[in-house]
Amino acid sequence: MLAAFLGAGICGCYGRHELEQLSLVTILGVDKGTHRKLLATAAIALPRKMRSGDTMGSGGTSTSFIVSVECDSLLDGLGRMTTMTSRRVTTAHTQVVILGEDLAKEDAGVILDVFSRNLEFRRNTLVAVCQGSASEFIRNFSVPEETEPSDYLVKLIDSCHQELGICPFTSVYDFLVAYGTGQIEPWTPYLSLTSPIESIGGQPEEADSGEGQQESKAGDTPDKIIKLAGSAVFKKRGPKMQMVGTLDPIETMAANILSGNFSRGFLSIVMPRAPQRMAALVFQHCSVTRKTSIDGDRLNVTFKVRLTASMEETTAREIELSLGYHSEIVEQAERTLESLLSSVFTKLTAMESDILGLGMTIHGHFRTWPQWKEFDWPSKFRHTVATYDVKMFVFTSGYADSPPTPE
Amino acid sequence: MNPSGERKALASQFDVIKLGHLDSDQFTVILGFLIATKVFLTLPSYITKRIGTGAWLTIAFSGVLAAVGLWGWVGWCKATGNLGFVPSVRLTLGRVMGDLTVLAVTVYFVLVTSFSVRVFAGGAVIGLLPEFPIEILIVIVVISSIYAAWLGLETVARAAIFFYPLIVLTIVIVGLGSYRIFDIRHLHPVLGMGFPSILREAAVQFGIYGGIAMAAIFKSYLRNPDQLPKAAFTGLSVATLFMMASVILVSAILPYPENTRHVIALGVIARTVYLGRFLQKIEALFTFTWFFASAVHASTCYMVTLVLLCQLMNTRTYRPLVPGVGLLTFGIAALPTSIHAAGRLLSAVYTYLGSFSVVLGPVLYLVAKVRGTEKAAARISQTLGALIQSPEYSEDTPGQLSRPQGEEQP
Repeated sequence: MLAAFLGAGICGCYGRHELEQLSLVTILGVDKGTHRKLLATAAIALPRKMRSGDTMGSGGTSTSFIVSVECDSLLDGLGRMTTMTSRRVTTAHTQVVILGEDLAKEDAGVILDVFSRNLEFRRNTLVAVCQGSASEFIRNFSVPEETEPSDYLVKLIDSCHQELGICPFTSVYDFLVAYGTGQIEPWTPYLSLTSPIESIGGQPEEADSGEGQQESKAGDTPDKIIKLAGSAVFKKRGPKMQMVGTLDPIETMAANILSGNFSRGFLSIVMPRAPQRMAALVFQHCSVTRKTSIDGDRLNVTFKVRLTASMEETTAREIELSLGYHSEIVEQAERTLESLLSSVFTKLTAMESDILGLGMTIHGHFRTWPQWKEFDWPSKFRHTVATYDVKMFVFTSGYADSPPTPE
Repeated sequence: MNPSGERKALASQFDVIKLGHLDSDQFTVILGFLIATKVFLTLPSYITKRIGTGAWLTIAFSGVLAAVGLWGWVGWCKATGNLGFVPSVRLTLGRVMGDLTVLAVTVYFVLVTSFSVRVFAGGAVIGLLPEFPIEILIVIVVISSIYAAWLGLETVARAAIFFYPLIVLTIVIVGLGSYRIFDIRHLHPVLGMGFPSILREAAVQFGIYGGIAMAAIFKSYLRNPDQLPKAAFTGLSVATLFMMASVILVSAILPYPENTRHVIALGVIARTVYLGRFLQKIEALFTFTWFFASAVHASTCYMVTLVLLCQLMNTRTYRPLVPGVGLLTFGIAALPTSIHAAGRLLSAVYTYLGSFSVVLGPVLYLVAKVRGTEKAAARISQTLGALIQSPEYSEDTPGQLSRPQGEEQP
């Protein structure tokens, strides 16, 4: 009987929203507005065109179209977009929110509240910051591989996070936790637009030029695609959540290692005894233990980092084969990594942004919430002294087998 | 009055409505529902708001206090034998005090039913069905629950037994499905607002266990009364662990003070469950099963209320009371203007009447010991037992036997 009663209500017959009457926003960009508070830009999916598999076209992609409006809030923006579309605009399937750099530097917190309150906004929506304007960014990137631009963006962020460790994986939930607790600061992927053809000989590729464009289109190469430029670091200042700086991809990898969210990636090292040669160490596993101690106002943290790696590439074939040299390579890798970790930690303390979540470890020293609040962690973070205990286990250094000798 | 008349008077006063029997597992499960269903309501947010990260410890300490209360109830049940609840209270405290006490317990269950239904319906409207009229949701839960109560105590117990694995499973899935954002470090600082606060709040909040009075109210309907202590303590322990686990889940996913911003915290967590690209946004499934928890909770409360009213009025059937009780609870449930108002009222009911309900057990036990109620109850039970065995006894009409023509009502 209960099921029969509930069936009438929960199946959506009451107050229903038919799918064919909805415009689904897949990517939402938010910038500072000129006349109003915000400039909201939405990539609205065109499901019928997805079937044809046409992946490239004007306006970023032919499987979506872009709408941009100035508004006072996100709901206001969606309302204004609905006045331009044949269907009601909804964020129920939005996968990524992209913040323009100016808005991120001023206050990213203005967009968060609606995610706590409105049912159509989801907390597991990913957040990223783009170089420049989010509106420009969404309008200009092409989608070479996927039929849907948000798929492309999500997969790019996910693969950079999982496979290379050079990208944070940040959702609105992380922002809300950081906003509420003060024990951790948020950081997001930092995206830029680039030509898919890298610069040659130190000269940037002129993808924007007419000639370059023609060549690109002739070769089925898109004009501009997204490039992960690293990560954007935020800090809560009073009621505002402000972007305070960026980390490049390698620094982002180090921050991921320090925060314990790193699994795979690689590091280039200078070969011992041959500084002109490089080698690439691929990490297979990483575990990080953070031990903290409080000595008066001074905070100490020891990062105990254990990694397994294999050397997968060198720029030379003539390599000395000895156990001693293998140890030198391991030491060199440990020194390189420790130096990287140290420089990133120093950079983060200078930014006063605890994206590593050290506060989550430190507050374990306190028994009660009033004691923790009195300690005032955000003001202490910049004085934290870090030490590193890095040990690397290089399984396949390349010296196990002799190089083949031509007959 | 001749001996036969005395026996008939006794039957009228101490014999109670027959409702079938519960086995100990059913008893444990419905007690668990009665206590623990509040995790689907505002409990995790409200209790965390007061004590911070130490909320789960408060529930544990409240559980210990409730165990003391349950010990009193069980002791009193043993002292009063297999007599019905209301006759036992009357025997212990006297007719006037006894009836007033039972009335207070009845009011507690009526208010808990009403406000719980209102809070649950409010949460469903906020988190799942924003355009659905809340009154219709309240009517759905009230009608479904009271229909189960109409069908009888055993029906309510069977429904509880049928649905509890499903409800536990959904909680487990919610916990596992949100593992990506589960971080046990959010439970620091362990003592929240401090140990004194935890103890103080435990002393205030143990009213959330007010439902343990059910152990005594249904004592005469247990198939094997000897299993009452075990079944009751098992129910209390399971419910306490379930509530602690739920509060830990909420605190570890929505760290303090973020979790205090959400009225129905478990509903918010259900929205974050991500089991795969094509298995997400499935909170409606979880909330749907939690409707059953709410309905079983309300059914049990209705059953308790109807039993108390029947025993107070000494009637042989509760069904004429069903529409009235249903309308009463609907009316009270429709009164609060918001889920916050209903939550505050529910909290007040737990704090005052719930605590009264927990404390009442040890008080009754002590009074029964001091007044020697145990012997009187044993004597009455023996007489009642003999009467029930006699051929002139009819369990449907003992009231008529008490007032035969020409006899004075005792």
